[in-house]
Amino acid sequence: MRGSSFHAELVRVLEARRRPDGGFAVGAGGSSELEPTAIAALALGGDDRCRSWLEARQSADGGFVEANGRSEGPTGAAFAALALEGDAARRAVDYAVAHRGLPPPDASDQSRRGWGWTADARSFVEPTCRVLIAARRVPPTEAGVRGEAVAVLAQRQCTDGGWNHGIIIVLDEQLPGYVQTTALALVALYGEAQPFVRSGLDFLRRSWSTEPGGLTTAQVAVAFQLHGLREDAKRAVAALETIARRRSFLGRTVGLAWAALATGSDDLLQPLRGRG
Amino acid sequence: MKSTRRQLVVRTGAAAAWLGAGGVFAADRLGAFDGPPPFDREAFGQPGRSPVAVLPASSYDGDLAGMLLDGLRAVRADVRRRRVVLKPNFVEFHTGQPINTDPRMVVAAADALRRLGAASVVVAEGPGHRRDTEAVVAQAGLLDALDDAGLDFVDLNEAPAVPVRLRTRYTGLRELWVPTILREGALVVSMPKLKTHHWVGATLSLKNCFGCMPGRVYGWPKDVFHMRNVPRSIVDIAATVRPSLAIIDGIVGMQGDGPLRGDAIGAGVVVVSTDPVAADVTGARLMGLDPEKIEYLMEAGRFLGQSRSELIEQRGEDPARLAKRFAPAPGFEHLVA
Repeated sequence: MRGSSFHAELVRVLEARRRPDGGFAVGAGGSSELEPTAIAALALGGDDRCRSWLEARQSADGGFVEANGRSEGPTGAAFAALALEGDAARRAVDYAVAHRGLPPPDASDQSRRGWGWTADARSFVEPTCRVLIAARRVPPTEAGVRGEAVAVLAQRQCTDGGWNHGIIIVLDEQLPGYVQTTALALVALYGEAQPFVRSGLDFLRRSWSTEPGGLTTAQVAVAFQLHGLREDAKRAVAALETIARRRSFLGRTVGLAWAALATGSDDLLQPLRGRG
Repeated sequence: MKSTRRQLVVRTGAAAAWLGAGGVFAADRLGAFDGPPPFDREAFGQPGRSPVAVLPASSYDGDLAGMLLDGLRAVRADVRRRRVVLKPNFVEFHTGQPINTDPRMVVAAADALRRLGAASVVVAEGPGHRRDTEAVVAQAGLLDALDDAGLDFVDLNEAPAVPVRLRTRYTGLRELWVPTILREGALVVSMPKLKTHHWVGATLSLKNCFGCMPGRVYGWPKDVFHMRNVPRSIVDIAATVRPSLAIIDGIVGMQGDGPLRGDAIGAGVVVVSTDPVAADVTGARLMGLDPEKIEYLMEAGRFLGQSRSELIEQRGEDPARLAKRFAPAPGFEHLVA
């Protein structure tokens, strides 16, 4: 399935969505933004125009400001670090690392805080995953980041083996894992051989088809691929082909870029594997 | 009986964020206000008399569009030549749970509004928990329903957004990022499910506006608003989005541990109003709750819409006749009328 005509079509559609400034917008209209540009850069195999766009938007502190003046969430910089090189990448990952979230509500170890969507909110799973993925490719200046992120993900795993946004109990009730968040957590946990990772994969294998979204299914395929579950990855890509026929899928650049990443050559996944 | 953590929180009426186990969602009490009113009176005016239509509907299989047309006419809703954005509640999806506005109700509302002369109608939502909106609305059956009806869907979590200066001061935030599709002359219709809510007692058309806040700015969940107190955030967000119409789906509602884990209850009613506060007051009554005990609703009634019963003109059925006794959310037994 990888390297298929489906992938070529996804790349064609993705390229057609590129804005004149070289970046990518979240949707069909609007200005180029950080996350879609960073993920598109990966999907296109390290695209120079995306990289230039990212470099031009990087602030002196390593963070990013969107065209509309909004400061991007602190871990948006982590995804940018996957597409940047050298000092720009290091500054981006250091910026993300430095902006930890407030401690999760039921964290037993408050010193391992993790990362949040915004500077004034608590830590959640996806932002922590982003930092872990970035830190594997670009080692941050601060020591111990990967260990902290892995520990936070271990703490935030739901009892069903999956991950949701990061809240595992509300008012004494256990909450279920979500497929998309679990897939990204497993992307982040590439190379980790601990039992809780196996539980996460089990959850994903039995649950992935219940959440039929493009972004979800693309990230599922990437997670399976990274963890060597090639037959599962093929099934996810086949489902993705069906989902891609929806109007709603092609209108979403981030999901489209993840789909291109999921269906392309294995080399495209190297930035997600990092240095192991 | 041993108190649960939830009961303790509710009983203490804590206004500060609760950071105990599972307490990701912050306080459930609005708290007291000192000094001048926390809203700009000139931006909102004084609430006047408001019409609310209460429509009996036993199932989703009848002529929903015709019923809504009657309701919209009863409250004199004027949507002619307007660009209408329907905002239903798809905060989350759990199989078999009546969390969401029924897709048939959404399609019927679009049909009725078109028949009343709306220039265009789109459906928009920004689910609060899951990153992949497409997965949520596909699971919930909304995507297929909209495709069949030729209606477009806009993901409010990803749509272009602009900063809007607040004219209220409940959370301390000075601005909110609001999707542009909800601005620029749009007529926003809040379409909640009739549900009890374990943090604020009831979730209706004002609380439904949480889903207008873009996830790519505020994250999943939109934790900033929980950190800054849920009832206060409801008032700030609703006062910024300012829905012009409310259509509450109470054909099947949710009672008990809402908004996600409660039980279905056939309430057999739909509420329509040009005043979301008045609609929510009526919705609370239809659940057997005393709206005067729902603090955020009474606060919104100071400036955003009409909360005083004597100034709400009931059209259609008498809400007292159709009211059901919903099991309140745990810890909110004091809201029962």
